This record gives sequence, C-alpha cells and structure tokens, in this order.
Amino acid sequence: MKIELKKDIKLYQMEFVGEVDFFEKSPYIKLLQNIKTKDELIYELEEKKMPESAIKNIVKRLENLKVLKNGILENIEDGFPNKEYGKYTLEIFENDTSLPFKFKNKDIKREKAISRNTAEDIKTNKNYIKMVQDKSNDKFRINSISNDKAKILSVRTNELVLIMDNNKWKYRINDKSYDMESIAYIDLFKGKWDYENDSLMISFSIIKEKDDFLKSFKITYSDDIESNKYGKLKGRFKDIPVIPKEQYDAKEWFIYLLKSEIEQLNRYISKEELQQLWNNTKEKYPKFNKFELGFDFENILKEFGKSSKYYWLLQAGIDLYPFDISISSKSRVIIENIEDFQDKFYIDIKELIIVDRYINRIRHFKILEKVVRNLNYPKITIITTKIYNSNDKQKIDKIMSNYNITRIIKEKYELPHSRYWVFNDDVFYKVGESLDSIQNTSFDKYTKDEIQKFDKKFVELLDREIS
Amino acid sequence: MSNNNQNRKKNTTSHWNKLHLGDHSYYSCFSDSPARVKALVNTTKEALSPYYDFLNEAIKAENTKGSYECDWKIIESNFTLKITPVYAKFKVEKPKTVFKVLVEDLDILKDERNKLFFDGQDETERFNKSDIKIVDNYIYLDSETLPKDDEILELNNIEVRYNLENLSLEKNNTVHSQNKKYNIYKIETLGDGWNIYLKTNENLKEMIFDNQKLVITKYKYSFNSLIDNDTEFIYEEMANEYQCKELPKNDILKDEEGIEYKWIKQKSSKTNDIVIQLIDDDSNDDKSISEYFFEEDVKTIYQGNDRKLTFDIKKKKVDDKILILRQDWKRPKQLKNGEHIKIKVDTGNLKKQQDSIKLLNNSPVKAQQNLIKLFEKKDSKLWKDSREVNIGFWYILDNEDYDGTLDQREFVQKAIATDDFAILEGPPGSGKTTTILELILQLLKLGKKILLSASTHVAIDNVLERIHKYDIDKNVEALRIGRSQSVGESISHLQIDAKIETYVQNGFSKEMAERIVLDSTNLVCGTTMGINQFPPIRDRVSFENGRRKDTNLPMDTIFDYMIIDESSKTTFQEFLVPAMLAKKWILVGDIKQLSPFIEQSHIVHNFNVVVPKETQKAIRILFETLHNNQNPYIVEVSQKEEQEIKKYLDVWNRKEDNPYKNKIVTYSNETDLLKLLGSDLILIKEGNWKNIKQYIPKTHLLILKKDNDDNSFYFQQNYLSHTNKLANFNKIDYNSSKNNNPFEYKEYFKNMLKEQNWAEAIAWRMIRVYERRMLKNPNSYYEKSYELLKPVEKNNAVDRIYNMTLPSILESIQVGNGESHRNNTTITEGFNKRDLRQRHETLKTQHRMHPDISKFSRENFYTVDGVQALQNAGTINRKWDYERYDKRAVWLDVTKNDKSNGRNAEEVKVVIKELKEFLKFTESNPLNQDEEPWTIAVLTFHQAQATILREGLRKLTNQPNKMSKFNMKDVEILLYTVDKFQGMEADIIFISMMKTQSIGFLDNINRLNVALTRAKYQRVIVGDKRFFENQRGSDELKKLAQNGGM
Repeated sequence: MKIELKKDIKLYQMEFVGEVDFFEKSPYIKLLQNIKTKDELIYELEEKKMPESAIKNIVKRLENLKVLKNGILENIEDGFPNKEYGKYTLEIFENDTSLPFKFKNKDIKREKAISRNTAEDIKTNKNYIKMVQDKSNDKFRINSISNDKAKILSVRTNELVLIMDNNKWKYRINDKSYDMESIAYIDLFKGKWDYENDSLMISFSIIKEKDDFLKSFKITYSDDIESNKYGKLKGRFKDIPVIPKEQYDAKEWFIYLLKSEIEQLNRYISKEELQQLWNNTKEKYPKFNKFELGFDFENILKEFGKSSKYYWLLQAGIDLYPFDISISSKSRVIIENIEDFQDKFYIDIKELIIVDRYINRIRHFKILEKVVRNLNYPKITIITTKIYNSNDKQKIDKIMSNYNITRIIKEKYELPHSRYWVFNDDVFYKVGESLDSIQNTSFDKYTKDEIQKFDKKFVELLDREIS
Repeated sequence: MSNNNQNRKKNTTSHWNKLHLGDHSYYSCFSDSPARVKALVNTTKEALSPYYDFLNEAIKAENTKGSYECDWKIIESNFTLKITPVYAKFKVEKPKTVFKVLVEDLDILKDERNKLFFDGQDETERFNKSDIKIVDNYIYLDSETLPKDDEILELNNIEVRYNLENLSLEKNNTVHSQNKKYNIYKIETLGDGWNIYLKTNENLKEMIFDNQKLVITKYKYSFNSLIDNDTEFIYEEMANEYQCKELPKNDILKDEEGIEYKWIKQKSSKTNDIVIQLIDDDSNDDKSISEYFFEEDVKTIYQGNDRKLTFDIKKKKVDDKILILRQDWKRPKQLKNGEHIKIKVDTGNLKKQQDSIKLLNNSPVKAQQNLIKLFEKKDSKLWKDSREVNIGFWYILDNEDYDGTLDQREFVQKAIATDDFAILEGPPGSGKTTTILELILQLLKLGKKILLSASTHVAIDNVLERIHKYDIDKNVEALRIGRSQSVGESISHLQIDAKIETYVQNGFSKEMAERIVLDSTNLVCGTTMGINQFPPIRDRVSFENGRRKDTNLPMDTIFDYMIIDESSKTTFQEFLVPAMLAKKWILVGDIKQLSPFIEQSHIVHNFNVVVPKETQKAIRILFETLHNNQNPYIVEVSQKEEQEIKKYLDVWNRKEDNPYKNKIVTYSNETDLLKLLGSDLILIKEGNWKNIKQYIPKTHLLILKKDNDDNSFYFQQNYLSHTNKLANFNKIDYNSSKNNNPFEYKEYFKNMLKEQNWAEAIAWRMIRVYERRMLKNPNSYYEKSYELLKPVEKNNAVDRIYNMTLPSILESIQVGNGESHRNNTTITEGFNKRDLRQRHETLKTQHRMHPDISKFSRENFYTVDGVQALQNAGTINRKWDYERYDKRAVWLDVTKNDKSNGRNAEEVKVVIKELKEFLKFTESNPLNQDEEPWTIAVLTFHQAQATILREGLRKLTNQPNKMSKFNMKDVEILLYTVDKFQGMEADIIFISMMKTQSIGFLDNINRLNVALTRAKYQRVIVGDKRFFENQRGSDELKKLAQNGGM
C-alpha cells in the first residue's frame, strides 16, 4: 500500500549568523550516564582525583551548555551539545493549516563564508527571526542570532509530498525526504478503517464495476483529503486493502466472486459441486471470515435470478445429473484405533499419497509416524501446506527423512477442502478427518472418475503433481 | 623568458591567493547599518591585505630555501646505562562482564530473532542463533543490557536462569603472558581496571588470567634523581639511556619515591640511539639555524638530497642543542661524517598566520568585534569607555607601601575594566610578571578563561611556578602547551600530554581525558609559537568529524582574555593567531627592549614582487654609479628604466638634501660630445650601442645588457687609460688587481647591477634603520643610503613593508603602523590619547638591579621629557661582601688585540679569570640575599664570541657537552647571546664586547639596553674601552665606555 498526499507550501530559505548547539556523540555521554545531579558529578570527578579548580570549571561548562540545570543533569543520551558560532542556512516551511509539522526545521547547516553578497542583501524581518528562533529539535538548538538578523535567501512555493510506503511516513520537498510521524488511518479514511483486518471498509456498489479490485481486495484511487488536522491535501492511494463494508456488501461481493468461479468451470455443475465451490471461495478470500455466509442453495439460485446464465448452469446440472448428488462410496473403512491401519484395508500398501491441508505441525507428523509404522512403511507422498511453526522444522525434517516421506507444499487455496488418501496410485479414499483424529474416522472409497465429478480440483491437482 | 613575461606570470599566480572582500553576513552582526557593514568589509580587507600579501611572499621565500642544514658532532661518554624499574607497572583493562543464560531445552532457540526479555527493565535484546556461543546448554551473550539484581529473564517467552561472571584480580595472583608466569607484586584497583606491578622489563600487551585474555598497557616510568647508597647518582639523560662518568656502586638504585631501579651497562653498539649536538655556523649573527631544528613540529632529520638517510628525532634537549635520533635496531644506520644534517623548511607557522588573517577578514565572529574595530574609521565613540572596577582583595599586590605597587594595581584595574585592549609597559625588573600574576588571579576569580602567551618557555614557566603559591581560592587550573622537553620540570605535570596521561590513569577514557583536559582548564599557556600546538589552533585546518576543514568557517573565541608577555617582540601577524581565540587582549612588554625578529629573506622576496623590476634597476643603477662606486659610466637601459631614472631624479632634485645634485646624467637622446664627456652617467638606449659607439667618449666604464660586451671598446679604453686615471675605480682592491683594467671590473660592476641586488641591498639596510630608530641622532650611512634606495613614490611598497612588518603589536597599537589610509584607523594611527590613557599603564619602579646597574639605562633610555621611567625601588637589597670591583657596574679594559675570525680570545681569558675569582667567593658565601645559590651569566652580542666563551666554560666546569647552562656545584653559569637572554636575569653578568674595529649592530640601543639590565648584583663589561670611547657609530656606547661601564 502506498499513499501520497500533496499540497503546496511556502518554503523559506534563510540564513543567519549566530550560535547553535549541535547534539553529537561525545565521551561525556558515557561519563555522565549514571550521574543525575551536580553533587553526584562532583563526587564522581573527585573520585577520579580531579583537582578542585578543574571540577569547578567542568561544572561551569556543563551549566553553560545547559546540560546541568538547577543542579540536575539533563538527559543527554541522544547527544551532547557542542556550541558553534557561524553562518547557518535554514529551510522552514509555512502552511495555512495546522499540519503537525508546521514550521518544522527542514535542515540546518553551517555555511562557509562567501564574499559574493553585498551589504544590500542583508534585509531583516524580525518575524522570520521568531520563526527560526523558536525552533529546535534533537539535532540542534539555536542559542543566539546575531543582531536578530536573518536574511531571507528565497521564498518559494514548493510541493510538499507526504508519503506512506510500507507503513512508514516520510515527507519530501525538492527531492529530499525526511522522516515524519505517522498519520492515523482513522483520520485519513474518515473513520472507514477496519483495524482488525487492516483494510478500508468499502461498499460493493462503489467498486462493483472493478473486477480487479474485487478480486485483489485492493483499490487504487485519487481523492482530495480535508480534515481539521491536516487541511487540504491531494491524495493518491495505491493498493489500499479493502473489505466489504456491511453484511449485504459482503454477500453481493461474495456472489460476484462465486459467479466468477462458476464461470471458470464453464459447464453445468451439481449442487454438491457448488457447495464445494462455495467453501473453496470462502477459503480463498479470508476477508469474508468477518461475515456470516452460510450455504443456502435455494437462496443462491434466487440471488442469481432466473435470467442469469449462472442460474441455468446450476439448474441444468441438476436436470442432467439427477442422481449425481447421490454419488456415494461403494465401500467404507472405519478406523477406531491406530492399529486398525494394519489390517482393515486388505491391500499391500506400497505407496501412499495423502492430500490434506493440515499436515504441517510436529504433532501431525508424530501421528503420521505411527500410521506409517502400522502400514508397514510404504513410500509416502504428502501434498499439504507449509510448516506452521518454523521451530518444528528440524524435527519434522528428521521424521520425513527417517520414513522417506516426500512432501509437496501448496498454498491452502490450491488444495481441496476434503482429505484424500491414495493407495498404490489407484485406490482412492476420501477421509473423514484430518490426522489429528485419524484413529477414529471413516475412509470412503471412490474411483477417480467418481471423484472427478464432485471434486475436480483434487483430481487436477493429483494429475498435475503426481503424474 | 623576458622580464615582462616573468612579471605577468608572477602576477597571475599570486592573484588567486589574494584576500577578497569578507562575507557581509558575518559583518552584519557588528552593525545595523548596511552602509557601515559595507565600509567595515572594505576597510578590513584593505588593512589586512598587506599583511596577507607579505606572508604570501615570505612563504615563497621559505620554500625557496628548501631545507635548513646544520653541522653536528656525536656525543660520547664513559658509560652508557639502561636504567629500568625492577617492577613494571601495567594498567589492566577490566574485561566485560560475562553473561551466560542457561537454556535447558535448546529447542526453544530459533535460528533468527530470538527474543531475550529483561522483565525489570522492560528491555528486549534480539539475537540470531548463529551469533552466539553455546556451551553445555549455556548461551554466552555479548549483550548491551545486563540483568539487574534478581531480574526475571525470558527467552522466547520462557523464563530462563542466568549467570553474571566478573573477573577479580588480587595481589600474588599468577598471570601468564607470552608463555611466562608472573606474580602480581602490588595491585591498585581503579574504576575500569587495575594497576598491577610485575617483575619484568617486557612491554607486555596482554596477559592470561583465569582462562581470560586481558589487555594490558605498560606505564612509562620517570624519575628526577636516583640515589645510590645514600648518595646521589650523577648521570646525564640521553633519551632512554643514561650517560655517566662512574658506574653506580649498588645494583639497585632508588628514586625519590623509593621505587627501585636496576641498571645494565650498555655496550656501545650500532643499535644504540644516536646522540648528536648541533653546531651552528657562528660566522654571522643571523638567527641560529639550529633553532629551526628545535621547533615543535620538527620530527625527523635527514642527510643528502634524496632524503634516503632519515632519522626520527626521539628527544630534543634545547638547552644543550642535543638531538637524540632513534636508531632502527633492525637495520642500524649511521650518520655520514662531515655531511650536514637537514630538515625540510616548514612554513606551517607562517601559514597559520595567513590563515588567521584570512579567517578574520572572511568571517569574523561577533566576539572578534574589537579586532575588527582596529580597522574601522576612528571617532571618539569607537572605543568604549572602561567600566569602573573596584578590587576588594589583592592576592599579591597587598602591600601598597611597597614601591611601585600602586602602579601595578592601577594596571590590574584597567585591564579588568577594559572592553578590548590593555597595555602594560615597564622596564626590566619592574614587576610585569607579578602584575600578570595578580591579574590572572583576579580574572579567574571572576570566572574568566585566559590564554597566556610569552616569547620564551622560561617566562611562561615562571608564571606557572609562582601562581599556585597565591591561588588560595583554588581557582587556577592551568594547562601548559608545548613539548614536554621544553617545559620546566617543576610544572611538567601541567603539560598537556602529561595531564591527559594522568587523567587516563585516574580512570577516564582516553577520549574523555583529551576532552576534559581542555574543558577543565581556565589558564592555557604557551610560547607565542608553541601556542599553535593548542588543539583548537592546531586542528584548525583539518578538524575532526569533517567539520572546519577550511579557513572559511569562522573560528569562535574560546578565551575571555589573552595575555601576551613580551609583546614588544611579537608582530601583528604573530599576535593574530592566538588573538583570534580571545575577546580581550592584554599586551605586556617594553619597547625599549628587543623588537620582533624578521627574516631578511622574507623582506627581499616581497620587495622583488611588489616593486617593479624597472624601478629596482633604475634605483640600483643610480645608487651604485653615482653614490656607492663613483666612477664615470655608460649604462645601457630600456626605455622604461630610463623613464624611472628620470622620475627618480626629478623627485630628488626637488629636495634640498639631494646627494645627486652635483651629478650629471645624460639621457639616450644626448649627442653633444662635450656634454657626454662631462657626464657622470651616460644612459644609452637598449640595442643601440653599435650605432652610437663611435660618438661615445672612451673615458667611461661601459656596462651593456646581456652579453653584448664590446671588447674593441675596452681595448680602446685601455689604450687611452693610464693607471692613475683608473684609480677612480675605487671599489676594487688595488693590491689584488692584476692589471687594473676595465676588463677586470666589467664582471664586478655587471653583477653589482643585477636586479635582485636592489632588494637585498635595501632589505638589510631597512632592518638596520629600524633597529636604530630609537637612537638620539639616527642619521648616518644606513639612514642615508636607505633613503636613496627607496622608491620615490608616496605610499611606496618599501614604506609599507617597513610599517607593517617590523614593529611589534605593542608598538603599532599605540602609535599605529604608519600606513596611510583614507580614514584614520586605530591600526594605522594608534589609539587616541584619551582611549590610550584608559588602557595603558607604565611601571616605573625596578626591583632587580643595584642602582649602579640601572643608572645608564635610566639616564639614556628611559628618561623621556625629563620623566624617569626606571626608578629604583627603595627595597632593593643587593648587599654583598665581594670587593673585587669598586662599583656595581664596571668596564674591564682589554686592550691586547688577540683577535682572529671575528673572535676575541683575550676577552675570554679575562671573563674566565673573573669567573674563577667570583666562584672562589661563592665557596665561602654560597647564597645570595634571597638565600638562593648564585647565578652567573656570560653574555655577548656575537655568536662567534659565544663559541670561544663556551670552550672556556666547558673547560672551567669540566662539562664538555654543555651549550648554555653550566654549573659549578650549586652555582649556575649561563652563556647566551644578548638576544636570547631577554626576559632572564642573573646575579652577576659578564658582557664580552668583542668588537675592536667597528661596532656593527651594537648601535641598536634596544639590544644594548637588554644587555645592561640583566644583572642584579654586578655587571662587568669586558672590552676594548678606548675603541668604544672613540668610535662614532653610537653615542650611547661612547658614553658607556667613557663612564667606565656605568
């Protein structure tokens, strides 16, 4: 996400001759780090056998530098002042609105003497002096300006650009960038920011024409911003994460995406297939987690409307394959404890492919280890998501290598919602539970063609990865 | 290349190094009025440019020299010892606390970004597994944060146990280094480590204790004297070695603190450091070349032209002109006998002066306003009136009945009251140093920061030695700038490096020690040149941290006051270097003593650049042909040269005292033979000789340009001439002339007329004229010939250089530098009388000399308009029982003229004889009235005479390697030329006059005054009395001789 906010500002470049404290690294910082008062300082210096006269001078010096004030040492951890007299240039910018950095010093640097200028160049304006003199930051402090004179070198209108990139705010003038404090999104997006999901809440109707925004959940747009705090700013917002604003926005958005999924299949689909698609879509776009989106076939048909092609794709599917929804397993294996794996399948299992999203924690692998032992050590391939906790990696790797387990890692949405075990490349089981409860679940046997009808995604995945 | 081209080239190269108008922004802080700011920028540049330009050429003159070279001899002795402490002291750096965390289940460690949380401090340290050491379930952390007492620590959110291990070191612990065992003999605990004593001479850098490697640093050791069996062991220190005539009786020697030392006799070998003594060429009285070798910046010497044979200087002993050269023990090398040693010419100090001028011109800071005022148009309000100051308590000047105290107090008040300058003048012994001491104490009481500078180390050390006695409020924190060798022993602890080392030993980090030494001091002292080593001045050109690399960045002031002693010996440009660091300036001195030393070559170089070649040539031709070597001449000149000659003579012809008024010069258009015959000088046009030679009389000496010499003309002339006619060529020594013919003279006169000779001819006269300016009747050969050699224009370059470079700051601030300027400014005219009165005080009462001794200077040098500025204090007590002389100021006549090579051996005999007599007296009367051993000084004006006096003193004292400080038992015998002895004193002074034929530079009354005012009890002049009574160069010397030296 990137935000650029622009406005024109007046930039004053001015020059003054005077004394400035710079806050720098200094050995004093270490010396004084555990000292809080003048008495402690004197004690410390006496401990180091410093003569009385020298101690007096050090105390006086620190008082002059305002490091020691009323007997208390100021915090100097970030820099010790070092006075320097000279000619300085300073750029400050002025704004009509109450930007938090109004009159903030942009830069201060000591200038060499130059002989080009003439006496006539020296014009004074005490208001500018005031502007300058009040300013200080953690890098410098202006102590004095000779004769209250600052020379305005230039007054220009410049574009101030506030940039948010990668969650860091900077401002830029004349190609030079400076750090700045963050601007809260709540201010920037007028209360429409969802902090939980880090997204801008947006009505479906606003972006319903923008397919790429709807699918990517990111929008790019330009808008003028006006708030009491920042004034008027021209904004350019890029890749701003968005989330449906209300429940009905979510519903419309979801249906839009579901339609797109159906369209991709480009064929008649059954009710069960639709439910699978519904679930997959929900998982693919986690931003819908915030909303209640239960599967209701009749309602979906209603939403699609009879005149839409999606309605007919669904309705025809039911008409063409009236029994399709009743495709059921020809045989079922019930597993009640881990030893059941030794004998309930009645087959010599040489190879096992498991497609399951959740084989990504050490506990899954420990269970898998037991399963493998009971199946008499077949060659195993698992297609699953990446390891959840990197701490587990070492141990998981150890188990994988011990049992010759091959792992194919996919993104969650690339994997089917259901779990499948494939024995010796041609015996397919749909499994009721994930590994966590594998000792107490059912294994339903299907042919590959049967599965093709209700979980095309699985078959495609298998063909792609295992062929 | 023609002269014109040369000129053009010089002009272009020097153009970029000119002073430009300063930065108005900086000047704008001096005034609200733009017009005044503009005027200030202009007048400052105008006033400073001549100084800047002069330095430009002075630097070039130095660079032309390339190197300084000096003769030398090896110093040898009976025995050379290496003396080392029995136990060496080392500083042990305290190692970091070892921080171990116990991790029972190593699985909780992640590869990256492990999180160690310090619960009590609410701090988190992150680390990667690869960055830590793991041993037996312990992880070792190099953490910035350390746990506090009983603090709970969590590693990746799991509570963990931990250990902190600190090293402890105790007496009698055994440590290892370089595979050897050492026992800790003694230990001192410091904040950041320990000092331990080990029995070794090795320079160990690390040691192992308790399986830990520790960094150690050996301390340097030092002792002032050594005791051998209850008697003092006599040695001479030469770098790390000690030379002695007899070996110690005991194996172990002890220093004043009881620390034990052992000694080993060194075999003389090629790897020993080389100890040499420099021998100056004493054939003239210019600045001794050896002095350059002892300047602070000189660190190496070399032989030959390719600098292949180079030696680092390990140590310098200025008093004895001894250099100790570091021997490369891997590849020992030797100096080539009979070949001079050299150093590269160093223009650093001149460049610093130039930098200061540039800085003040370009970017003056507000606190330098009063320096800028020197160049501002004078009016009655320019200089602020002094404030009222009342001093309630006097540290030293507490007895107002003591003669002179009231004057001293008056000055202290004026100096505190002034807003800018204060000037203290006073004759020798009038308590200037005491006044400075009181002023310092008063200023430090007010919380001011002071920079004290003087021309000699002794003068500085004098102040520092005395000040602590009176510092009852403990306000003085002094810092001495300068090499440790040049700083007196009693205040060596104040020397900057020594002080830093002490702070480091007391537990400060090196960086902090360097900083705190500067921040804690309120009295920084150094010689006028040595102060350039003060870090803020030294580092001005290239500053650390990238800042202030250029002189265009301003130099802010550090000090409230700068006190400069002997400012009568300091030029404005020398003054400016330290003066830039202060807000107010106290000038102390005596313009009746010696003036600043200026290198003649710098003046010559300047003249060559600023005076057009034609002018130089024209003046030179007239001076040599019509004044210096009066013969009839024919000289070939360019058109411009002829114009210059005309212009010059026109101006002189309008003057009454024109020495050329009877001289006839004919110009190149003259054809009348009779007129030509009667001319003293016939000018002929360049390149026209062949056309006119037949009309030109053969009676004149011909000088043609380049190699166009016309032999036929000389033959004819020779034929016509007779010996008696040629006798007119009076510059040639007839006895050495072979045949007294014009051929012989041709080269002589041609060389004489080379352009560069004009600059040399006028430069040395200028210095002499300046030195003689205070004579009652300074109108002799020098003044007359100087006038004749000067260009005739008003505001000519010669006058400018005379005005600007020769006078001291003390002189020019009072009477101005005499430059003419559109406006009257303080630098050109001096302070107005009223302003000066508020700032100036003269001390009139002297406390040093017996009245017989002060009499001559009082009557002849310090009485102005009937007022005596050298009165004797009533408290002077110079009683003694030495009855050899009837008066306290005597002249011992030495008539026997045993003189060769500009030396007077007879006078040496007399001085030694008188010395012996006095030494006999000191045997029964070892102490003077101040209960101190007697001091004797032998002075002479001439280096050659000093050489043979030295030989006499070496023999007398049996100290064959000493140069200027000898001793016989407790009596110190000093040998100096008068110029080097300014600011010093002795109980009895012998002055060897040497001269018997011409007085040379003895006509400088400043020099004479210095010589005459050094003695406290007795002054003995040894010299040819009748010669001085009869010479006509100096009325003062004549009078001194006639009065029998009193």
